[in-house]
Amino acid sequence: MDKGRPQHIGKLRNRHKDWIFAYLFIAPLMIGVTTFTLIPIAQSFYYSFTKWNGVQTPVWTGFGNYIKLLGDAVFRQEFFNTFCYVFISVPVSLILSLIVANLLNAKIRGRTVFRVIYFLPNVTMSVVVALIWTLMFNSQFGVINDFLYKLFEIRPSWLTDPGLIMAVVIVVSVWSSVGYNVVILLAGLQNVPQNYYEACELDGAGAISKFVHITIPLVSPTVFFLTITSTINAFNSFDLVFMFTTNGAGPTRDAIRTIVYGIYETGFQFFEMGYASAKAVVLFFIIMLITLIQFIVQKKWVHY
Amino acid sequence: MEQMLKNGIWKRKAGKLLTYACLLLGVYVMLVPFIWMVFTSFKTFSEAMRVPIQWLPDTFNLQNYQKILSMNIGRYYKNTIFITVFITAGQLLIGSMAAYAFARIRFPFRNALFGLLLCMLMIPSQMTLIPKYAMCGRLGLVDTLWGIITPNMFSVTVTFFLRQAFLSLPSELEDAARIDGCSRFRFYWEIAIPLSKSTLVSMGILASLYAWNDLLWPTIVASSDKTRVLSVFIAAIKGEHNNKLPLLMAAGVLSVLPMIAGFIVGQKHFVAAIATTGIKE
Repeated sequence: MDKGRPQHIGKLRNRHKDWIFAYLFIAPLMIGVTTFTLIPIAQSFYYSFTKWNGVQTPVWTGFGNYIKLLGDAVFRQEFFNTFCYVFISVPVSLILSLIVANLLNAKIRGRTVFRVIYFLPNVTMSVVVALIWTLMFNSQFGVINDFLYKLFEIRPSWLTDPGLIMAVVIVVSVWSSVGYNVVILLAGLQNVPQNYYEACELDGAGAISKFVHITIPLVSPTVFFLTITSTINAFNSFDLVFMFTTNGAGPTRDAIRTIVYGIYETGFQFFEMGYASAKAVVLFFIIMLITLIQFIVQKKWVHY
Repeated sequence: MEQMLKNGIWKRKAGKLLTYACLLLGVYVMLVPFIWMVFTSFKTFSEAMRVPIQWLPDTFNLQNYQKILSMNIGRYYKNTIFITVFITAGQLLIGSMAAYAFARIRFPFRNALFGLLLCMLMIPSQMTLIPKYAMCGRLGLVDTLWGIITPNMFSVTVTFFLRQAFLSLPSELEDAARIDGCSRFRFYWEIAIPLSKSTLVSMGILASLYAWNDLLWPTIVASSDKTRVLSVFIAAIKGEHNNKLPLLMAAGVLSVLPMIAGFIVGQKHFVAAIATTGIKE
């Protein structure tokens, strides 16, 4: 008994040493996350109840900012634009990606080359992506209108027409997100056992019915994952909107301003930090709510 | 029977042809914008404004590139490389340290703390922009490159995936090393890190892509000329020279070249990096 005791204490000491080591090792991350995420989240909520220009001390205004949001036509526009952008660009991109991934999953030559090319926009900074497409969509000497003029003799002014600019932003975002989705879908498709397809072929199924009855159900967890992440990303996207609004006149800007753009403008151009924080809090709850709904609905269509 | 077989073969051939046709159409759509950017960057102002459009420049002249190079782009390049290196190194070092502790050491509140971190994955970073900016102001980081770097050095995603990698190391390995007198730190640095190289490379790629390409945070925290990074530079010259398309394209080509070159050389690693983040298990 006596002999066992020092050993026990030694073990305990060792364990304490381990604890200290562990806390030291997680300390940098925990301090960083606390400083730049945890505290800021709490502050976001606090500032959203204040009037604050970023310099003086915030003045408590209760629900003032939120009441103002309800009657704010600009915010209503931002809200509407954000939903329009998210609910068109995400499904379109996912459907296209599924088709491309399915085509690439067949036994074809040069899969790597295709994948590299489709993925190219994802390594290109979105600022430059926007730049390229302002050139493509230029009404006079852009490739797209050159093509449209030859076919239909029309030259829509994509970049300055408030009715068209949202379509441009959506097209560009789809163009730049397909490659990412394809890479992840291909990883998911690789897990589908080949003999499922063979069995289906024996039953005389064609390519489309194989796609609908085997591929889609079996990659549905991956599709679900992508739906969640790309919806969140779409709600948060800023770069494209920012780039397509520079030099844009009022109506063009209003046609694509999103909530995140609104946060930027209200907070860092108008210096109404309290009001901008209220927008951020609303965005946060929208994202939470949409994610929650997706998790509930997934039970209906995701097969594990 | 033979007829059916023949039909089947034809059908399959037609299907394959259709597959290639669709994929090539996709390639066309993906590549034309890039090609157009490169060609335009070599054009003169008037060549770029010709109607109907002209694909190739009359001569490949370098004047747009010369003009961009005279615009201090060297400094923006240096700034971008600086923030990319430090953000990436910071995320990997800080993330791997925490990941090692979370994966391989039992300590009080381990699971609670890790759970807290995972919750933070769901917080959109846009939500914290304003307080984060205020925080940087208090720390004296506004309008410095460290203002771009510091808040971006702490990545829960990187920690999460490195923890997965460290969890997969056999525990016998660590036990044996420890009995031989190997310290926790040595095991982390000399065994765990080298054995998880592929995950580290993947995470490094994602971190540097993000650092190189991000616009919103640098625009807010450091956009003066001395702290400007390439993305902010592009946004700024687009504002100033909205109509000088060839000039803008030259700037665009120069800004994306390093990442695209890196991607083409190491595409396998890039694809692996993306695929890891997409797999939930």
